[in-house]
Amino acid sequence: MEPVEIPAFYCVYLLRSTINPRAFYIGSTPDPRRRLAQHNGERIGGAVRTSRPSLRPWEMTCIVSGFTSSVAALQFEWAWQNPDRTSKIKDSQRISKSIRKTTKLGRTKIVTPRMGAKALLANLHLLLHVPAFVRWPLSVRFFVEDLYPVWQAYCRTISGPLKAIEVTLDLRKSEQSRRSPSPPPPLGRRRAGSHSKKYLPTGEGGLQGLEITNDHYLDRHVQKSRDLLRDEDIKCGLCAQGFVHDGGATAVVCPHAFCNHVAHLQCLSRVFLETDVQYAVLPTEGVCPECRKPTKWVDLVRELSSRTRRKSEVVKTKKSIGAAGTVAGEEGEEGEAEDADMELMLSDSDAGFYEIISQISDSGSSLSVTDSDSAASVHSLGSAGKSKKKKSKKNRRT
Amino acid sequence: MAPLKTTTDPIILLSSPPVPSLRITTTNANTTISSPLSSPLLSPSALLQELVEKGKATIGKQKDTKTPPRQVTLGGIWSVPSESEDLAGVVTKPPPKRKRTTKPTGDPIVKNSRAKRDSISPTLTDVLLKSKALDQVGAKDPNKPKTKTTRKKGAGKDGHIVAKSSKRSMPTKSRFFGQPDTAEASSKPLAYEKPALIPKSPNKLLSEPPIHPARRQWTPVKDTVISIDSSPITDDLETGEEKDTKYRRLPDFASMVGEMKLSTSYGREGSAVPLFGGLDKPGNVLIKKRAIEMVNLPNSSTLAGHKPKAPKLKQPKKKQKTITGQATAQYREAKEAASHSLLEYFTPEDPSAESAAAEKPTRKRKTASEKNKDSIPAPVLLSPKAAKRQFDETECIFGTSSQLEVMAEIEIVNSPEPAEDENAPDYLPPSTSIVRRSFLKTLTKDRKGGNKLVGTRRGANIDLLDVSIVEDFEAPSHEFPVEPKLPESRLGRGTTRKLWDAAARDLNGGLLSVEVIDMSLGNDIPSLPSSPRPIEEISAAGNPDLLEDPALSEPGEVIEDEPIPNLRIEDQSMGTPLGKVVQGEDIPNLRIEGQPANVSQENGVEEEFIPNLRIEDMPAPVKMTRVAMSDADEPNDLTFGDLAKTLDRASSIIPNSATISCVGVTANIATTLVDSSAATSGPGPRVQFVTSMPDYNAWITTKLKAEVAKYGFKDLKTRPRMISILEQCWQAKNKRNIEHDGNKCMGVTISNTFTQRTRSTSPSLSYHAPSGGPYNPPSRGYSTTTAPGVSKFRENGPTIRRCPTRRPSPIRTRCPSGTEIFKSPDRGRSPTPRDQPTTSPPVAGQPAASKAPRSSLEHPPRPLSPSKPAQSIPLRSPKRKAKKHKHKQKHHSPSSPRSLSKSLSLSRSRSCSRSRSPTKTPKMISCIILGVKPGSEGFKFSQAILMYDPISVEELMEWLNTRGIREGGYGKEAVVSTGEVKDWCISNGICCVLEDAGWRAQRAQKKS
Repeated sequence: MEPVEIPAFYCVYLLRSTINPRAFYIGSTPDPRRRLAQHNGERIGGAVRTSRPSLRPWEMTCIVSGFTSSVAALQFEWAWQNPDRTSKIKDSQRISKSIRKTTKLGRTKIVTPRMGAKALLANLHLLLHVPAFVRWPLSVRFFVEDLYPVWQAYCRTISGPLKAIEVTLDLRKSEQSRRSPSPPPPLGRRRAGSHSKKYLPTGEGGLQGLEITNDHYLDRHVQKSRDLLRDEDIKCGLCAQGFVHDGGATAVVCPHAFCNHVAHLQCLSRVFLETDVQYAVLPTEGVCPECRKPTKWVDLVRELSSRTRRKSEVVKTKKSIGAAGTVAGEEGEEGEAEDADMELMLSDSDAGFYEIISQISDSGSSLSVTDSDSAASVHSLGSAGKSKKKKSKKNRRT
Repeated sequence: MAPLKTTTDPIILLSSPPVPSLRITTTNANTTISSPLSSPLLSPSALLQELVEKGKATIGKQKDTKTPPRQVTLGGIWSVPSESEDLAGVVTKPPPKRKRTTKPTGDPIVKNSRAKRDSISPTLTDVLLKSKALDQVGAKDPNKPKTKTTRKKGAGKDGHIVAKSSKRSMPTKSRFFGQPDTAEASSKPLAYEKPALIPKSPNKLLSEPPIHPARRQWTPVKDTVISIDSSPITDDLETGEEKDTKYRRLPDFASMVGEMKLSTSYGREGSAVPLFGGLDKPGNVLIKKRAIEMVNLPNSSTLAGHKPKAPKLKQPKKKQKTITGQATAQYREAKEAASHSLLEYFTPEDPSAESAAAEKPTRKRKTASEKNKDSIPAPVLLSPKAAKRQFDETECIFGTSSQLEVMAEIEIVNSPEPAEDENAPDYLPPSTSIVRRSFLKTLTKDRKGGNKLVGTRRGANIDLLDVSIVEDFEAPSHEFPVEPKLPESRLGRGTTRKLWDAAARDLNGGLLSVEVIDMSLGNDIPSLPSSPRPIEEISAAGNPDLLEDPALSEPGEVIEDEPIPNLRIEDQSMGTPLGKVVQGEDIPNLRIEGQPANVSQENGVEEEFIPNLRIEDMPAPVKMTRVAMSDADEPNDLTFGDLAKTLDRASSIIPNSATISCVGVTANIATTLVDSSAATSGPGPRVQFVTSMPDYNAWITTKLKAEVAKYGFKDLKTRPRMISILEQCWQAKNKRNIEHDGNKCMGVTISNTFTQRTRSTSPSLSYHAPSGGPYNPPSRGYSTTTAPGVSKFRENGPTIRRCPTRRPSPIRTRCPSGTEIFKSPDRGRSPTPRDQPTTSPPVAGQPAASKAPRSSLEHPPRPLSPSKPAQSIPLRSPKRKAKKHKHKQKHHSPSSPRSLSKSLSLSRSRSCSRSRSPTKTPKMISCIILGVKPGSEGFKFSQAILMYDPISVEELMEWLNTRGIREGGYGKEAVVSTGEVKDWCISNGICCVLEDAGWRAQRAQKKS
């Protein structure tokens, strides 16, 4: 599959019904505010499982962010939804175990047990420590005050602190943000469509104040690296070889100010892995050989990704415009506008891939809903199937 | 008086409502109480209590007969009515407790149902009340209610319990009678007052003559009820009362049973009636009954009209109809059966009592009394100790399924012995007694129904059984694992066995041990296939030559690898001199191989070895076994075993691992072994001349099929498959010989040993071997000769088989420890391979230690293909194997180069699986990924991982198998599967995607 730029933000979220606090929904999205609006019916494209008026409005209780790809987020989402079946968790570690039910026809059906808040958080905690995800640059953010103590209580029961994962309680503090307005994102990064503007961060704290685009920081870093790499004589600080042959495609630049350390991706990864576990392949963080400051691997990679994989602005704008049109029409007609902005950033092939992913997310998310409405699940599956067909048609057209 | 009162209290509980119950009581009360409770279930403990009580009662009777306790009892009873007078006010105004209790009991039906549901004791009380009601119905005299009240009062005086019972009765009146009671109530107190004035004098009760006629009218009811106690009700009230106390004590047990029956079987009335009869001889009883009848009148108007007999008939039906009746139906039967059994067993009187209970009360009495008298002489009942003793003994008899049979036999056999046990109370040794106790406990727990006991009547038999059992147990208790000899002397052998069986079952629940012991006694040691010893011995005896080498002669712990049974079989089958001839060569080889086998354990394919070995071993002579033993003895084995264990663990986690380390180890071992082998045994591989492989292509299809079937393979439809498999099998069979030939050519023994090992470890060897003379003509004789080699390989064998298996599971089984190995054969044994010697030999060729010195250089292409199937075969179940074979065969076709390449890759994978432990696989992949050079093809994977890009598992696997592993320096043979790659990705936090799975593949297809 074609490499894609690491998304600026992608999260897996946990919704909770404000009407029935026992009803939860797990989903993933690059834009939680928009997605929440969809779930609550404010915008077209919500999941069927969350469309029951008896459960609306939904609140986003917590999010797990930092996914480096939509695939990664979807995998985590599925694992969270199906902790009893995911291969990411060893059988010996499973907290939730699947239930086998025999249907009237005599078939055995594996059902994921219903999970309450505590079970969900326990599984989340487990997933964050599983080898499959422990090395991912994930962070947890709670937006609800009552759920965070549960998390803390659960963490206390388990020995050892939550390693390398940032967990914060982000409550809504004020409706007006005191922070200086962030510089406008570059044209290419700006999300097309008027609807995206609706969900810009407002105020301070909470989901509404969550900053999901750190473009200005990233852009600075990208700009710095570009400037450094313009110099053809620049060489890897570790292997002393140049970057001419690949045009800097494998060069990573220290994100810290006043540090112009440039190295090959592999070279630096080896340095980082020296202090890591033996036979580890994916570094998590390390110390810059030059400035000796702790550096997160994901920052280096994200910059490299945005620098090398970001589509040219012109192309993006063109595609975004076209895609916006199609998406808008689709939304109006079919209500399949989920994560439309994401689609805008993808190429055609990626768009198709993303469609599938989004479909998976929809179908998978239906499983996680705790409220028992078999009819709803059926509908959701049916809608997912329809959406697949429609999208496939759409792809064919394009 | 005081003691009497105390005794009365419990009685009141039972027959709470009527005073007469109080009369009856005294010592009887205890029995009655216990009986209803225990009777339903007839638990052994209850039986014991009863027996003890009986003994006491009998003793008491003897004393009482001389003393006039009756009067005392009467006085006590009469005192009750006086108390009842005091409580008369209470009757009109029942205390809150009474109200509560009465409300539910208000409806007799409800009472019955509840009582039955709850427990027997309450049922009895309710039944009594109901029976009263029936009596009342029968006689509608207004005086009766008065008597009731008085009785209640008396009960109240006696104790709280009495008061409770009276309370219950009261509410019933209040509800049903309502107005009529009130009308009568005025008269009642007066009537009560009179008896109250003379409470303690029994004469007063007698003074109430009018009741008697009424009673007579009710007598039929009594008859129906069958209560034993009712008998005293007859005209001789006074005398009857006194006697009743005596009689009741004696027949209590029977009465208890009878009561139970009545309470359960008969409706309220029926149950109550007997109690009345037993309880009230005096007029008071009658009066109360009438009052109760009044109460019942509204409920059962029909009953009122009917005479007592009619309701009797109806009652059982009604009871059955009721839920409670249905629910208790089983218990009734059980009770009856139990009662019979008990009566029969313990006291011959009881059955008669039961029969009497079925009959009229008078008869019952007589019968009971007579029987009691008869029973009195029985010493067992009298002394509680004796009762206990009997009880213990009796328990031994019973219960289990085979008991009856055993019993019969025992009876026959036991006739001589019984006296001993019974006569000598202390005969039981302490150990036996303990055993028996535990045994009895278990039995008591098991049987509650008591039906089982029925069969156990005969104490003598039981005793005999006990003795025999005890004796038998003594030996096993001391030396359980050891084979105890059963005492045939007394009981005879067959009987003893059966006894053993039964006893063993009862005791442990896991009788197997005992049975096994018996078996062992019966069977000779050699029969045991599993025990390593016999085999060793046999092998040693069979082959003196083998003993020559001290190392070999050592008893092998090593035997692990090969299941003993196989060895035995081989020995039996082979016994031929060929083995001896081969011995010289084989021994060194075996030794050497034995170590590699351990190494191979690391590799992980070893499981299958055992089965293969067995198959191959079939021809192998005894020597082989021995050799294995010697190999086992070598110190290296331990280390290898440990390694193998660790590897197995790791393998369970992840299949593939770096082969290098393993290979190195093997090589070292091999070298050492070679040295030792060279020193010990001369190079002379005397194996018969190598035969050439038959030209299977020229064979007819039917012949091919038959040949394939010989090897136990599933019927292969295509001819080339059959040919390929046959070739493989043949090569596998003859490989060793071929190798030997090659070695001969080499002229160096060391090389031979080395090759053998390498063979096991690396595929190259296998190829090498065929190079020597893969196509030599095969001959039976040759095969047999090879067999010894194979048998030697047995030890090595595991290595051979391992090759085919990639799965981690086989690796687990590989474990060097003998036990594990034994397990593995079971698994690997997949039916077909065992029988077929072919499967095992191919194994030898399979090994693929990448570092094996000679390795692939010399291999002709052919042998490779055959080696594969052979490897695959042993590990899996026949079906799977067949499938695999088919799958592999597709690639096999020896002629086509492509197939060769594929076969090579397969062999690589196998070899890889062998060489690398599962734990090392992820490490290997990690090392490869980390060591990728920037310009190489694999760099994209490395970069993708570092860039958090989801990688395709298939792509990565393909690259690893094609180039990555080789470039990484891990050998060509190593192969990783998608599962391994996926596991590696997951374990390293790499986002991976299986593109072939699910909708992605479909989508790709659609697109294409």
